[in-house]
Amino acid sequence: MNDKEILEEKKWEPRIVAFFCTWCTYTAADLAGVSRLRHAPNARIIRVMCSGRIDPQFVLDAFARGADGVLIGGCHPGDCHYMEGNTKALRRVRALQRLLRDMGVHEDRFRLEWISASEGEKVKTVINDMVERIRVLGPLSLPAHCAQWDAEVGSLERAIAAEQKQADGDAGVQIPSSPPAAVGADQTQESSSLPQHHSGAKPKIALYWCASCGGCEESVVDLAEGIIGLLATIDIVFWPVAMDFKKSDVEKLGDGEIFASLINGAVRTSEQEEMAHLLRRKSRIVLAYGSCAHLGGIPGLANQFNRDDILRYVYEGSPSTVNEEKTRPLVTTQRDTHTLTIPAFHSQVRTLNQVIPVDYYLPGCPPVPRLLAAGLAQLLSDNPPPRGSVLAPDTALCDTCPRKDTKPADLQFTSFSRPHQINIDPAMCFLAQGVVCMGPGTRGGCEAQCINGNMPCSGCFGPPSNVKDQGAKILAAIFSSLKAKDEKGIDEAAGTVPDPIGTFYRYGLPGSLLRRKTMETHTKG
Amino acid sequence: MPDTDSSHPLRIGFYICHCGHNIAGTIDVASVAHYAAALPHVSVAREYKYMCSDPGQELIQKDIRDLELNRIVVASCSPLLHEHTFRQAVEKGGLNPFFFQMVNIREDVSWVNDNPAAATVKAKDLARAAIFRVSHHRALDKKHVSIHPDALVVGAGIAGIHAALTLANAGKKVTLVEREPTIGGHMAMFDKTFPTLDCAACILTPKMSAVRNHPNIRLLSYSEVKVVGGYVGNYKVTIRRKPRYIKEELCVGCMECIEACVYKEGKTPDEFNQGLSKRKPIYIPFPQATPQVVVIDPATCIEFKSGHCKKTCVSVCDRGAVDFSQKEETIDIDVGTIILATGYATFDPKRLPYYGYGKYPNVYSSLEVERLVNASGPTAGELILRDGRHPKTVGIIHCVGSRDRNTNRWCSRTCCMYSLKLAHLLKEHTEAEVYNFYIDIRAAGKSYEEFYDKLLEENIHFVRGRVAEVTDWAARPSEEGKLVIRVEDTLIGVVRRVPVDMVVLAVGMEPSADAQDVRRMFNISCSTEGFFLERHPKLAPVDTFTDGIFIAGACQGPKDIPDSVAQAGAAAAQALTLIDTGEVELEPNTAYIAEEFCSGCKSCLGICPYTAITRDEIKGKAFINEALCKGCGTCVAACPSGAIRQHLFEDDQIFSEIDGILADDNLTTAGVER
Repeated sequence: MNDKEILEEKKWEPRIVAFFCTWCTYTAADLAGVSRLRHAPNARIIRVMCSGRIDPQFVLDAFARGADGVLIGGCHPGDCHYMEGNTKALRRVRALQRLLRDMGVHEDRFRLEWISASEGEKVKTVINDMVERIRVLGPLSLPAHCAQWDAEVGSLERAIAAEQKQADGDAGVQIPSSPPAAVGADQTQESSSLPQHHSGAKPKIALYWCASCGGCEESVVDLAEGIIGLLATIDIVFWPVAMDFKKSDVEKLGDGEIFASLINGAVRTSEQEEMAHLLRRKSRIVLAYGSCAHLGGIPGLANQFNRDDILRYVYEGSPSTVNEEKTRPLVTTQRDTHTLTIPAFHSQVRTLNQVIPVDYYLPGCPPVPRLLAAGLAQLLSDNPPPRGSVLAPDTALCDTCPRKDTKPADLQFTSFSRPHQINIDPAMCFLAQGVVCMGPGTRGGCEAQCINGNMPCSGCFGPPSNVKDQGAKILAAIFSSLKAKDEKGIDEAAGTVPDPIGTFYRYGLPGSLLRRKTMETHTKG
Repeated sequence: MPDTDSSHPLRIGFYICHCGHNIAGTIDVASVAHYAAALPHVSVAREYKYMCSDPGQELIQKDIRDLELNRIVVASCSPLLHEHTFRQAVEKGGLNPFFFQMVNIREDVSWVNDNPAAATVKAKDLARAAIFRVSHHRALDKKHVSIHPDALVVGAGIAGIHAALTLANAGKKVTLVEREPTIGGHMAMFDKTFPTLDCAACILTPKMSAVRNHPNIRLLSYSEVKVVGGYVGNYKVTIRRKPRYIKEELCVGCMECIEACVYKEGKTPDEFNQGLSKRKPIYIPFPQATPQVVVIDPATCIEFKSGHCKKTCVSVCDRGAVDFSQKEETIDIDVGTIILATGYATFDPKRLPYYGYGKYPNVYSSLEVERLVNASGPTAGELILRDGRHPKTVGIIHCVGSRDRNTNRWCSRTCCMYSLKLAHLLKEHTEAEVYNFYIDIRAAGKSYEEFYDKLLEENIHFVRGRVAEVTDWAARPSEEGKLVIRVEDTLIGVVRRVPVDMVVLAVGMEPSADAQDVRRMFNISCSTEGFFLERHPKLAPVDTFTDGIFIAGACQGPKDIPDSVAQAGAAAAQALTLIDTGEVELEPNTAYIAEEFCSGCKSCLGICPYTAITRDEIKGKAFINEALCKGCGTCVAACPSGAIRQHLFEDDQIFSEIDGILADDNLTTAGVER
């Protein structure tokens, strides 16, 4: 359903989620009521004690769940009931506004207003104005878009299947006919009916890679001699990188015959999706292996662009390309009597659990061998962890960081540097040196390898379980501690992070609340 | 599924209030109730005329017992008004009071919408959000804090004095802080008071000395509150005592030092007399000043300016009270309650240049005239104009800086009456012809209209109209040497020119210049015009939005003496109620650490404005001191690993609220799951 249809069918009205602090803006909204100041009925207020409580995750979650706009109301600067909660709100909001702009959300959809307890009139004018601006923009409808994106995957597949049927008669490969239900990244599945391995024959294990760099495969090999011991207890039935099994070998296996499939890489093409479904059907356990399968990984950064832009750039625009005929790859090509088929390129990168149900996650780019060994041992034991578990510690990296004690208690950021711009003190907390380190919002378990290599954490282990959106949370933490208190100073400091999405969502854009850049403000052509 | 905090399945009761016609007149309450009844886990949904009434509350309690409800949602007015009421009802019904969520469908919906369909949709959305949210509520213990029995009163005008005496007479220890060297405020400057015409000093000075002598009152004059910390029942206040350069305990107020000062004549405009006379560097504001202690103004004292004064003041004082080495002092006190009675400022008539104040010497502000007609004033009560003449005609211009879109829109409430009083006094003192130029005479107080009637019989002239201009430009010979008041007499519809010798500007009342600073320091709010905001204009007129802080007198809005005193008594009574209850219930909305998830990253440490978060060095994790935490939640939003949580405002509660707002009709996919 496109925007126009939504407008017509549901008589679309802008939906605004408003977070108001209880002392000033909520009281002002009450005053507007007591004064009978009629205003547009589109805002739904959520009361918090202070605008400082407003977690950027709330804003993103509201958009992700279908809000057309988010309004934050707090006390005027200097008037905060809690001294400076509104200043912290302002810092986060400025950073978030920039992030949302990069994510393609129009600036009129997210607004911060200082409204004191006596300004009932301002509640009215702000809400009316915001509703009018959003009415001009039309619906944002992220949930509908997500459904649309998912449906598009299905329709692509149906188109391919139809093409193949035409070409090959009825002998084509079976392709799932309907798109899978999208499963949220934060799914909590029922922990009942855990697939347990029963002793007897050696458990069958499959390994597969989707959109990934191959580093995850390397990390399996990095088990080194350990792999020999492992091979004594398991039976590898599929591992295209290392062993000569074919897809047909997997197809021959019965459903659920594979004990566990370790799938790395994000899902971008029809082939990857097809293999994911096949392995899901044949496996009792699917383990999303590594950052890309877990949250989208580096390939997921492609979600800042749409499919056409990527293809146009790669096949026409890039400096090294000469392609005067503007030839593009086609899914099926007729050549003499042969039909050549290549996988279809989907419009976005998806995490594994947005394609198939996933039982466990092993994070990291790549996962460390010790966690793999421990994770496999856990899965093979009689007492496997609850389904949905991330097989890594649930405390952030700082807990085990060797530089933990060098972080001052009262950090105040004035600007940020990228690692290559300064001489990094190898014994000092990166944040204390003004280098963005994702450690405070990233799971530990990586043995602090980057830190020990004198590079800051870039977040590959993903967020701890209490965090829905790693980027939003780390942004909240870091920008709360800016030194600047006014918009100009805040923007200057924030401007020294040149690429917020690449910094805060380096490994997790598809698994984040917004999943991808909305193409709302994207100029086509 | 939501965390039920127990093994019992969720059983939610939903109640929607008609509030008479206030809600039901706009919102289709039956439809909302019907809709809510079909939402997950809702066991019962009812509508009722007045949920806050006893039968309404009993309805909830009965359902809790009979239907074994374990969560309650009430859709009615603002939680700021009745959340406490319903929590109590829920508790009486046998549930933890925090298994409750309120939906504001009156202030936030029915009162701001006139489209019933849209209002009903909004009410359903908000109801759904609350129903989702309440599923995630957890049982909490109420938080009680004891109330320190001592009180602080800020400002010692008539309101502050009356409040302090009321508290002190009830046996409470009171610290009374006054910025000026003497207490008494504006009232001490007045001559007589309307409508009874008793002399202000006669009725005020006994109260001032009562303050001075009261064993329960600690008077800190010439002092200002600098820092206010803490919370209801436990405020920590830092007071700055400015140096008087006089040892207060030794000075007996004999004033011989003033006599002996090397300055034979005063050279500095006397603040108390509105600059109509001069004072010396060592002075006492007025004869009945309290405390009866002189003060040295270092800005004009030769010893402070050059260090080479003969210091005759020192030599003449046989008690050795003069002390040039005195330093500013800081006093820290603990109090449980605070009454703010910081008064008002008079409108500066220079802002209206067309009335000629500051340009024509014989244009006076009303407060100056109070001093001029006062027997202890600069002219000992003889009405001599700045040019030395006695006025034969006087014009009093009402509403100067009041009821005016260009300055202040409000009515200052006192000007009509004090103008009548001044008219009477001026007539009495000078036998002059007195004209009142008014918009309306507002004499709405006990015996006020009678006073006005009396004035009408005293041959005072009344001209209805807002004065356009005061000018010395004579249009005819009879106006030579006079001030001419140009005004449209709206009762006869002609423009008049009234030549007078003296013009009195009845200036209005404004918030004090530093009202905003004071409000910030005490964490209270101001209304649009800048006066301190009361908690409720009718039902809580002396409370503020900050518990334990009350307001009295003209700092809350223009007020005459009887109203200020009445309000001061009310504020004292409210404070006494708190003190004698001994403890107060606080919102248990503090933040806490989920230790197993804390990585000790220290992101929160510098963020807390109350330094409630420290680091447990042994565990290497953050620690929140619950007593210091005020529940703003800033650290919760900032914690990068979701290890800090906040009671009553948990992440899952807010996420479920967002979900509820947006869940719309596709409940099955976007509903309570996830």
